[in-house]
Amino acid sequence: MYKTLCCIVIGLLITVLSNAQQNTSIGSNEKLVYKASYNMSGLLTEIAQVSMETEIVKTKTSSLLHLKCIATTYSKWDNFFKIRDLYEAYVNPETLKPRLYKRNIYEGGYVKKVKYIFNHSKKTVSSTISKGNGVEQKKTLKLNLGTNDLISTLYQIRNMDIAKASVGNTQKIRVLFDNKERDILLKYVGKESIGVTGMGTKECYKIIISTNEASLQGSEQNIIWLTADTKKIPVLIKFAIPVGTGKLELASAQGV
Amino acid sequence: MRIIFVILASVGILLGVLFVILPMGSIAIVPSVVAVLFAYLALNKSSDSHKNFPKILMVIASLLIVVGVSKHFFVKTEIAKDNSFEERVDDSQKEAIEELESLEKELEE
Repeated sequence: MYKTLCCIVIGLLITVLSNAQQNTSIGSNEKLVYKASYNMSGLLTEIAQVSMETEIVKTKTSSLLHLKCIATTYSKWDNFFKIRDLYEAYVNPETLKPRLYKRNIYEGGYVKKVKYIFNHSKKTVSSTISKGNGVEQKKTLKLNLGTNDLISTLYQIRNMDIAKASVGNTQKIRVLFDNKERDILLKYVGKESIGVTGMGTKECYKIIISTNEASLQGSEQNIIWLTADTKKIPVLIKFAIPVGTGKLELASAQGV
Repeated sequence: MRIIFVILASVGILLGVLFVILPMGSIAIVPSVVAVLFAYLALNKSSDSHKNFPKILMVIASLLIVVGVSKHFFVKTEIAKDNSFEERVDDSQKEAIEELESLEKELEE
């Protein structure tokens, strides 16, 4: 009896925040712009602008939702540490399942390109990675059910039915990053009011994002605040990585 | 005690110079303000014949504060127009559409 109850409770915890649902939150012409600050010796310094855009793109036979995330250092930082990062995902507009993921980064002279082509029917991903020398490493990876790329995952979190979740509910998701599937745990910890530039004070869902990967863990928690409405716009993201902490604050939102 | 204050003020000035060169925003003036305070304490602890060096430290630290504050107001926090990056973004999308179309063709076959 005890074992059965445990199974039911664990099952409920896993399924409450189901991510296999139709897209009801992500618009096809959104542009969210964030100010990224990095903690330097205990003081936050504005270092870059991050934009997250969506648009419908058409191929010969289908329409896909293009999710584009761009990180650019402010011009005053360009001479010291220039960042020009481009992350893209082409997803099914209804289910947000990815078909193609591309990462093309330039960070202080470090260059890396990653491309994943998802084949959901064969449950495989064709991966192509190249670094500064331009040599391409190609691999075919097996894909577990529900595994997505980083950008699709960010948007899928927005599409979760958080209104039905109770405080303390958790959801495990799998993200393919650097050719490795990584488990990420989301924990809903309640609602909080957050002041947002140009939007006043918004009631937000507060979600803690954690991972068991030691190489990705920082000294503090990764927390995301999503507006507690149907759009679930990320208004504040606090992140902790092994080399420091920082935050992304929403500066402007269009098309939501 | 005077020597300690002089050393701390000098360290503050060195950090202040570094912070003013780097685009640190308003944080840049913090070490310079600290340097002014320590230079002032060093000045108070100095005999009449040894007041010159703390005075020089105070002047340098004050100048650094002026430069830091000016930079904060005049250097804008904005991203520069980067044509090569914009091209990279456009090219990436064109390539992606070609890749998606060839993928769709493969799946049809």
